[in-house]
Amino acid sequence: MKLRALRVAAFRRFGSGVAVDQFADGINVLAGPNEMGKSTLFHALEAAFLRRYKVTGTQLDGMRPHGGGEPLVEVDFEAGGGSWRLRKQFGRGASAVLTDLASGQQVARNADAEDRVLALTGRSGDMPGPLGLVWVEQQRSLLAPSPDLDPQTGEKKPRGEHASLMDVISAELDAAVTGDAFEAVQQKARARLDVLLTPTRAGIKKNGPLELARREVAEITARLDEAKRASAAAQDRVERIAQATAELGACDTPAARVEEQARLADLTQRLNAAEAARVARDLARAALATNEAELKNLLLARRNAEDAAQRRTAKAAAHAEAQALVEQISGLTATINAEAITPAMLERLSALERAHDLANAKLSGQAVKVAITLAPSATGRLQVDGEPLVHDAVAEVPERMVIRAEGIADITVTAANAGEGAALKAKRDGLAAELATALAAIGVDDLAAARVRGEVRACHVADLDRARSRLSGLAPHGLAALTAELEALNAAAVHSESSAAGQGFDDALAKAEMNRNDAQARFAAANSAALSDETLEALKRDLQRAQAAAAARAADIARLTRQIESARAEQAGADEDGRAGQVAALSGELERAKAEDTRLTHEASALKLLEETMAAVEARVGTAYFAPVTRRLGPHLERVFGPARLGFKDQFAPDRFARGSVEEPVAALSDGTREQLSVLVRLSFAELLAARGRPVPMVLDDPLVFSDDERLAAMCDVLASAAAVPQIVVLTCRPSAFAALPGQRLVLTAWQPGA
Amino acid sequence: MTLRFIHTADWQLGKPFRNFPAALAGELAAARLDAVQRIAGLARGRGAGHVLVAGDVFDSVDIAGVELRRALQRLNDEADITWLLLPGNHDAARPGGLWDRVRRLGLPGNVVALTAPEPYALNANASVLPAPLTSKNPGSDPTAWMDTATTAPGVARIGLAHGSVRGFGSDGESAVDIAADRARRAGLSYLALGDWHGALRISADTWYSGTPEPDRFPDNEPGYVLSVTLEGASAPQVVRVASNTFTWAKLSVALASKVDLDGIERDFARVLATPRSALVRLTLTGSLSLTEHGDLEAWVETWSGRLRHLEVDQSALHTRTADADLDTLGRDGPLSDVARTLSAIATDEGHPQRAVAETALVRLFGFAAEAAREAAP
Repeated sequence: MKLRALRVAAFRRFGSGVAVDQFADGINVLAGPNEMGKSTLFHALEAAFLRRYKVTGTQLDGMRPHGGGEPLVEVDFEAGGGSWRLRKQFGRGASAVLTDLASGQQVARNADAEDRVLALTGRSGDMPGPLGLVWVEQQRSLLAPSPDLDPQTGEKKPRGEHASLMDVISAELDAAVTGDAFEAVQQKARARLDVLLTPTRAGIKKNGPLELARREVAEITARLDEAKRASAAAQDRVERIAQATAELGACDTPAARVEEQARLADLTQRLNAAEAARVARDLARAALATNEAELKNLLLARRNAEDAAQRRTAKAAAHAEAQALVEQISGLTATINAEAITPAMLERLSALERAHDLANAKLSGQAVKVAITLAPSATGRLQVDGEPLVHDAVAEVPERMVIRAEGIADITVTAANAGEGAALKAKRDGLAAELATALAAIGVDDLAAARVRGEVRACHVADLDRARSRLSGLAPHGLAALTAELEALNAAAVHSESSAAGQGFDDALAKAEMNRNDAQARFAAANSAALSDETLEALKRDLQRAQAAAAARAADIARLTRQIESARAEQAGADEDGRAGQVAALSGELERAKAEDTRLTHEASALKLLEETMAAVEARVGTAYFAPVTRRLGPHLERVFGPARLGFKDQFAPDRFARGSVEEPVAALSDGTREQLSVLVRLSFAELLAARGRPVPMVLDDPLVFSDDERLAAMCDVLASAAAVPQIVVLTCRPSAFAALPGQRLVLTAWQPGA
Repeated sequence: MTLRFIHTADWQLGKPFRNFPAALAGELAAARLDAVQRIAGLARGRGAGHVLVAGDVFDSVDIAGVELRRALQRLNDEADITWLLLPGNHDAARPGGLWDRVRRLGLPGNVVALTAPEPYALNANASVLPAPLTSKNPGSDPTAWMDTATTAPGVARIGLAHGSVRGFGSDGESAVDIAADRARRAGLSYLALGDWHGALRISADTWYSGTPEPDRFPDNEPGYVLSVTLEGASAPQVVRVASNTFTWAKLSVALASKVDLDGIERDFARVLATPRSALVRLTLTGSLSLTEHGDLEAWVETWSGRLRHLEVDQSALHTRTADADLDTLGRDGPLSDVARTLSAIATDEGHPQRAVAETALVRLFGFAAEAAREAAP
C-alpha cells in the first residue's frame, strides 16, 4: 500500500481544510514548526485506516476541532493494484465512501467500504492488520514495538498485528511449521477458556457459565435443603396429628370422665361435711366459753359478797374493842391520876432515905461501939439510957450513953466527938422525920410500901399505853371514823347481801353451773365429731389434687385438640404451597446442575491443560519465529551500532541488546538507543511485510528526538536505504535534522472539501 | 361367570423428572398423567370395568395439592371406569397424611381408595382384598391378613398388594416382603402386585403389572398393563398390553473404531419402535482415535436430533492418538508437539490428569479441524 494524498477538515487542529497531495514512493518528509499540525495529520491517517467511521464518545471528541464541526478525512492510496480514495465523515452524518480512482466509481459505502479497505491494506481475519505496527506516533517511538498493544490505552487487544506478523513470518519459515493453525487453535482455546476462567486462569470467571453452574448447584442445594426441611416438617405434622389423636383418644375416655366426676363429687361432699362439723364445734366452743364466763361471774359475785361480810364483822369487832379500849383508857387514866406516888415522888423519897441512911452511916461511924453482954441473970437489971436491957446489945454511942446498973452504977459512955455526933444525929433525925412526914403524907408507912404503890401505878401506865396503841391501830382516825366506816359497811352489806346471796342467787349459780356442764358436753361431742386439722388438710389436699388432675386432663384435651387443629391448618397451607413436594424435582435439578458443573469443570481443566501445553510448546519452538525479523534487523543494527544483536521475548518484545561482548536488558538502555532500536525493529517489520506481499507505508511522527547527530545520521542512512519498504513518511519539526534524508518534501495546502 | 379387569401399578403421578431438560421433563410428566386415559381406553376395549392400581399411584406423600387435583380430575374424566387405588410405599397411608388429603379434596364417585385392609366387593361375585401400606417400611407382610379374611362363599378373592416377592428377581424398591405363595395360602384367584416397575409373572395367579409408562432406564420390562380374566375355578388368563408413550432404553457398547457406531444404529433399530419417542442412555467404552472422536461427536449430534433424548456416557471411552491424527496437525509442527505431550498423559493410566488430557486432546483436534475448515476457501 502506498499513500498518495491526505486531506483533512474540521479535524483537531485543522478547523478549515488542509491537504498533503504529493506523497511519493520511498521517503517523504513533512517538516514544519511545532504548531503546524503534523501530529493531527498522523491521527487523521489513523482515523482513516484504523478507526471506524461510526466512532462515538471520547474517540470522536478527540477528533473534533475546538471550534466544533464534524471531522472529515480523505485519503488517496494505492493498493492491490488499484488507486482508491477513502473518504470518512465522522460524527453527525457519519459515512465512509470508497471510490475507485481509476473509474471514479464509488465501490463501497460505510461498513462495506471499511471492510474493503481492510482487505486492501492486508488485514488478518476480521482484524485491522499490520498498520499499527509501523505507524509510530509522536512520543511513542520510545515504546518497544509490541504487537496488538493499543498505544492509546496501553492494553493488549487483538488488533491483528500479531497475527499479521505471524502470517508473514510463517510464510518465510519451513512450511511444516503451521504457525497459522497453531495460532488459531491457541486463540480458540483461549476464547473458550476466557469464558470459563479469569484471564490469569487462577479463578472462575465471574458470571461465566462455570460460575453460574457452581452458583446454581449452591442455589439448588439450598432450595433442596429447604424442601427437605418442608418435607420433614410435613411428615412431622402427620406424625404429630397421629400421636395427638392417639393421646386424645387415650385421655378423653367416657370412663375417665365418669370416674373423675365421681371422685370430685365425693371429695367435695366429704369436705363440706367436715367443714360444717368444724363450724358446729366452733359454735359449741363459743357457747361453752360464754357459759363458763357466766358461772365465773356469779362465783366472783358470791365471793365478793362473802368478803364484804367478813370485812364488816372484823370492822364491828374492831369497833367494839375500840370502844372498850376507850373506856379502859378512861379508867386507867383516872386510877393513875389518883395515885400520888409518881415515879418522881418515889425518887424524892428514895433520895431522902439515901440521905438519911448516909447520915446514919456517918453517925454510926462516929459513934462508940458498946457491946453489952448480959449475964443470964442480968436481964432487966441494966438500964441503958434509962431503958432496961433485956438482951445482949451492941450499941453505938454517938454522944453518950448512960448505962445504969441499978444500983450499982450509972456508966456513962461518951463518944470522942460527941458534938459532931450530936449534929449528925440531929441531921439524921431530921431526915428521918422529913421522910416520915412525906410517907405519912401519902399514907404509907415506909418507903417500901410507897414503892409497892408506885409499881402498881407504873403497871397502870403501861396498860394505858398499850390500850392507846391498840386503839390507834384499830381506829387510826379515831373512833368516830371507825364508826362511820362500820356504818358504811353495814349500809353496803344491806345491798350486797341482798344480790349475791339468798335463794335466787343460789339458783342462778346452780343453773349457770348446769349450763356450763351442758355446754361442755356439747362441745366434747362436737369436737369428737369434727375432723382433726391434719385429716381436714389431707382431705383438702385430696380434693385439690383431684381438681388439679381434672384441670390438667381438660388442659391436655384442649392442648391436643389445638395441636391437631393447628397441625391440620398448617398441613392445609403446606399442601397448597407444595414446597415439600419439590424434593424430587429439586433432587433432579441438582443432579443436572452438578453434572453441568462437573462437565464445565472438566472442560476448563482440559482447556487449561491444552493452553498450558501449547504455551510450553510455543516457548520451546518460539525462537524460530524471530528469525525472519532478526535476519532483517541485523544489517540495520550493524550500521547504527556496529556489531550488535537484539533478542526477543515472546510477542516480539525486544528483550536483551548485545553489543560486542556486552549484553544489557533493553530497559536499561538510554532513551536514544531504545528509540533507535524501536524504529529499527519497526523498519524490519515493514520490510518483512513488504517482502511477504503486504507492503505498508511506515509513518514516523517526530521520531528520533533523543538521538545525537552521529546516530541520527546513521538512522537516516538506514531509512534512506530501506528500499524494500514502499514508503516512509517522516513528520518532523526539525527540518535540519533530517536535511540529509533524501526524498520528497511535503507541503500543506489549503483544501476545500467538496461533496 | 367371567370377570375381567385391568391390573396396573406404579403410576407415580407427579414425578417431576427434573434431572432431564425442562421441556422433556414436562412431556414425561404429561405422559404419566395421560396414561390414565390410555388405560381407560384399553379397559373399555377389553370390556373391563375395573382398574386395580397396585400401589404407588402418587410419586410422593408431599405431592402438591394441584397435582393431586389434576390426577383426581383425570380419573373422574373416565367416569365409566371404576378405579381402585392402593397406597404403596411412595404414597403410604399415614393417618392425617396423603390419603386424608385426597379425601378432603373429594374422591370422585368412580374412585375407591383402599386404605384399610378389609374386603371390598367388586360385584356380587368378586371381592378385592387390599393390602395398603401405612408406611414406607411396615416391617411385616401386609398381605398376611388375607389368609383369614372372610368373604361370602363362591366369591372370587382378588388380592391387591405392593411390595417385593423375594427370590423371583422382583426385588423392588420398597422394603416390603410379600410371601410368594400368598395367593395359594389366602385362596386368592389372583394376586395383583405393584412395586416392580416391569411386568413379571411370579406364578400363574400372581403377577406384577409394572408401570404403564416407563420412568427410568429399565432393567426390566415396563410399559404394560395386564388384562386379567377370571373364569370359574380355572387359572386366570393374563394378557400383557402395551400402554407406554415413551420407550426408555439403555445400551452399553464397546467401541474399537467408528465402524462400531453402525452397530449401535442396528441396536437402535432393533430396540426402538419409534426413535422420536425414545430416551436412550448410551454408555461407551473402548477407545477411538482422535479423528474418530470427531466422527463420534457428529454422530451423537445427529442422533440427539433423531431420538427424543440421548445421553452418552463417554467417561470410560478413551482416546488413541494415531499417526494419521498427527498428520492432520502437521507431523513435525508445534501442534503435533502439543498432541504428543497430551497423548503421553492420556495414555498413562495412573496419571491423575488422564481424563483431562483426553478431553484436551479432543479439543485440540476439534479446534484444529475447525480452523482448517475456516481457512479453507
